[in-house]
Amino acid sequence: MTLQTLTSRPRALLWLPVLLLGVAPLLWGDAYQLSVWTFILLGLIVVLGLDVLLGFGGQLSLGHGVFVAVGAYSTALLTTKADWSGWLAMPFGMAVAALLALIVGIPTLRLRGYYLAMATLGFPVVLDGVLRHASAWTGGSSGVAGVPRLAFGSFVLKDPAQMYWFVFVVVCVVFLITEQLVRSRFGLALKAVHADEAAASARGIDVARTKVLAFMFSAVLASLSGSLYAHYVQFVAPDTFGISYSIMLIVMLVVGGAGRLWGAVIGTVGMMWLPEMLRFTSTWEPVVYGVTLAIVLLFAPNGIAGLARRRATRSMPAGERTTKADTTLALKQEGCGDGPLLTLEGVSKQFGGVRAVSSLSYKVAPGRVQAIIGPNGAGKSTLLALIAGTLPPSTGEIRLGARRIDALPAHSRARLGIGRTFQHTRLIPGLTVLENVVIGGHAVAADSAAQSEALAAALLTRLDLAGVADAYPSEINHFQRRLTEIAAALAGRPRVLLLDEPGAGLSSLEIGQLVEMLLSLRNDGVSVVLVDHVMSLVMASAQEILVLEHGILIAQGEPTDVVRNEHVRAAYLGRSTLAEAEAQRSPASLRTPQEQAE
Amino acid sequence: MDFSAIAQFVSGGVTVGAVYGLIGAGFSLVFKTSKVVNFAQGEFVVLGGLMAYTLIALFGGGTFSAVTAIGATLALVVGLAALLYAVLRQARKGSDEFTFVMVTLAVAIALRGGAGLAWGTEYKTFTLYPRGSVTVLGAVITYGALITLAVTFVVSVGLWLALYRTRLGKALRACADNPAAAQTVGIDPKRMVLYAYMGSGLLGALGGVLITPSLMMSYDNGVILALKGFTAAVVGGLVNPFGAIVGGVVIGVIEGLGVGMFSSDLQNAYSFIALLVVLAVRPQGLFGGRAELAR
Repeated sequence: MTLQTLTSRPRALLWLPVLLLGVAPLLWGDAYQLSVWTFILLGLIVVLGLDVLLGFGGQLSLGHGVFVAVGAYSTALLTTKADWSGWLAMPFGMAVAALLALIVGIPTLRLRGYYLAMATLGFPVVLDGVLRHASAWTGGSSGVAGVPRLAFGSFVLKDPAQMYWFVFVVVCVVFLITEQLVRSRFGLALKAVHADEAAASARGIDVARTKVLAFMFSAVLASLSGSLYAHYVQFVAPDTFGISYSIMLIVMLVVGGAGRLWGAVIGTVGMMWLPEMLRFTSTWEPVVYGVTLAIVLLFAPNGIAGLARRRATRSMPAGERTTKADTTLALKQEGCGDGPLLTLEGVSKQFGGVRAVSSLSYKVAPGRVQAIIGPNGAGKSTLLALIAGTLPPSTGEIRLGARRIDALPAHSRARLGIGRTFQHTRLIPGLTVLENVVIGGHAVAADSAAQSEALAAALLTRLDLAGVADAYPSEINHFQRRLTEIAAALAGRPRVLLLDEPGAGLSSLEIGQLVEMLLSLRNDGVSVVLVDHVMSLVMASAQEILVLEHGILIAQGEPTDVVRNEHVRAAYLGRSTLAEAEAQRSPASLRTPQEQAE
Repeated sequence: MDFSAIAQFVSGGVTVGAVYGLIGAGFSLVFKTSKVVNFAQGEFVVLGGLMAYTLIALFGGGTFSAVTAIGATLALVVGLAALLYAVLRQARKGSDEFTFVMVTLAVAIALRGGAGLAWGTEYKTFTLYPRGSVTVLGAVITYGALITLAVTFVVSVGLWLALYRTRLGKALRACADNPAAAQTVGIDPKRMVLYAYMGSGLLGALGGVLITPSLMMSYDNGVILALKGFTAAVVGGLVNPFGAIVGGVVIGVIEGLGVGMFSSDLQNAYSFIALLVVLAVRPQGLFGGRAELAR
C-alpha cells in the first residue's frame, strides 16, 4: 500500500473536468469560442498553481498577474529583441519568476500572517511603474508587438486550433504534475503547514521553506501561462496584467473551491466562460465579482467544489490494515554511544523580568523514562520548548549526543531526533489519523512513501489505533488523539521523545494503558522525557524524576527518593501524598490523585 | 543636488507620510482588536476623498459648509466601516481569520468597482486649504501641508487620549490583549471590534479628505494607499497605532527622496521595497515587542 492508493479518489473522476475542456471547443466550433477556450486554459494554468499556494498551503498572493507578466514579457522581449527561440525564452521567464518569488517570499513567508498578501497586493502597481521606467525596452504602456508564433522546428502553430490543442496538452501535463505534487511528501507537508505551523515544525517540516517553494511553484506556472499567452496573442501590454486580472484569479479559485484541483477547473471555466456566453461585459463587473466573492466566502467558504460532499478517502476496510511490520526494529536507536543522550548546561530562559528556567543543568541517559514534575509555572513546558526549539534559550548549551543544538530551528532538531507532543494535542484536522502519523515520519527523509506508511500503520496497530486509521482527528476521542500524536512523534524515530502532559484529562484506565505503552517503548530503547501532573503516571513509568520550582531544579533522583524529599513535598506534592505516591510505584494500583498544587 | 531641494523632498514626504500614517493607524486598530488585516482600508481613504469632493461641491463655498461636508463624509465612511463589520458578522460560525480577511478583500473589490461607477475613472480634487506657504530651510511648505500635519498631530493625540484615558479605550485594549478575559469582566468583544472598524473608517476617510486637495484622488487609488498604509503599520509594529503614524512619516520621506532623487515612475516601488526590507530586517517594526510575532 502506498501513499497514492491511500489518498486517491478515483482518478477518472478527477480528470473528467479537464478532459471536458478538451471537447468543449468541438461543441461550439467557431473561432470566437476557440479563443475563449484558449484563454480559459491559459487562466487555468495560473489558477492551478494558485490552488497549490492558497488552497493547499493557505498562503494568499494577490498579485499573481505579475508573474504572468514576467513570462509574457520575457517571451516577448527575448524573441523580438534578442532573437531567442520561444523554447528558450519560456524557461528563462520561469526562472525569473521563481527568483522573484524567492526574493518576495523569503521576507514575507518567514512570518505568519498576511504579509505576502499585502506585499503582492501592491505588486501590479509596482510592475506598472517598472515597465514605464524601462520603457526604452518594454515599450511602456504601448507594449511589445510582433511576438512570433510557437514552432516545432519548421512546423509553426499558425492555426488557432493548433495552438488550442498545444495549450490543452500543456494543461494536462500541468494538471498531472500538480496532482502528483499535492499527494507527495511535499503536499502533505504543505497541508500540515497550512493547518498548524508549530506542529508541522515539530514533525521536522521546514515551514518557511515549504511555503516559499509553494509560492515559487505557483509563480513558475503563472510565468508559463504568460509565455504561452505572448505566443498566442503575439502582443503584450501592461494593462493585461493589472490588479483586476490578479484579483480575478483569486475570485475564480475561491468561487470554484480552493484546496481541490477540480475546484480550480470549475471556478476558472465558470467565471471565464459564463460571462462570455451571457455577453456580460458591463462596467458593473468588479462589483459583481466582489459581491460574488463575499457571498461565496460567507455562505459556502469551500466554494462550489466544497458543496459536493467530501468523499471519504478510505481506500480499504480498516480491519485489513493490520500490518505486521516490526516497529521495535524501526524504533531502536543505534550508535548512541555510552555518553548522555541529551545534555543541558546552564540553560536559562528569561521572559522580561521573569526567569522561567534558571541556569538548569542535567543529562538524559539513553533508554530511560525521565519525568519532570513541579507546580504550575515551574517552567516545565518552557523547558520542553527550549529542548524542542520552539523557544530559543536566553543562555546555556543544549547538546544531543555530542552535537550542540540550541541554535537550531525546531524542524532541524526534529530531524536530528527530538520528537515531541504538545500540551494541547495538535493534529492536522484535514488529514486522517494515518496521514497524521505519516506526516510524523516526514522528518526521516530517507524513507520512501511506502516505508513511511508501513511504519505509520505498524505504529497505529501497536498503539491500538488501527481501527480509527481512516478517521479524521475530530472523529476520535481525546485519548485516541493523544495516542495519535505520540504515534506521529514516534514515526519520526526520535532519539528523545518529549511528552507534554500526556496524562491530562485521561481516565485512570487510560492512564494505565499509557503507562504500559511508555514502559514498552522504554524496553525498545526509546528515551522519554515526560512532563506531567498525574503522579500515578509519573510514578509508574519514570525511572528518574526531576522536580522544578520557579525554574530551579530542586530535586533529582529515583522516584521513591524524590517523593520522600522534604523540599519536594513542601513545594509540590504535599505531605499526605507520600504513602499514596509510593503505592503507585506498583502499576497494579493505579489511581489519579488530586493535583494538590493546583 | 542642493540642500533646499532635499529639504523640499523631505517636507513633501513628511506631509504625505502623515496621511499614510493615518491609514496605517486604521489598519493597526483593526488588527490589534481582531487579528484581521482589513483590505478595505484603502477604499475608506478613496471614498473619503471622493465623497468630500462631491459633498463640498454640493454644499457650496464657505468654511462652514466645507466643514459640514467633511463631517458628513466622515460620518458616511464610518457608517460604511460599521456595515463592513456587519457583513463580516454574517460569516458562518467557526469561520477562521482567513475567511474574514478574504471577505474584507471582496468588499474592497466591490467598493472599488462601485466608486468607479459613481465617480468615473478621472482624478478628482477640490480646494480646501487657503493659498500660501512658508519657507523652512529652503523648502516651500504650503499651508495645506501645515494643516495636514496639524490635523494628523491632533488626531494622534486624540486617539491616544481615547485609547488610554477613557473607559471605552481601556475596554478596547483589554479586548485586544485577551478577548476571553475581557468578556468575563463584562466587555463585549464584538462591540469593541465594531468600534475598531469605525475608528479605522474615520482615520482612513480623514486621510482621504486631507490628501485629495493636494494629490487628487481616483477610484482605484485604494490598493496602493492600502499598501503604503500597511507598510506604515508594519514599520510601526502593526499593533501600535501611534507607531503606524511614525512609520507613515518614515515611508513618506523614503518615497519623497526616492521620487526626487531617482525616478517618479518607481514612486510606488519604494514603499514596496521598504516593506520587504523591514520584514527581512526587523519584522516586529520599530516599536513592536518580540512577543507580538509569536501570536
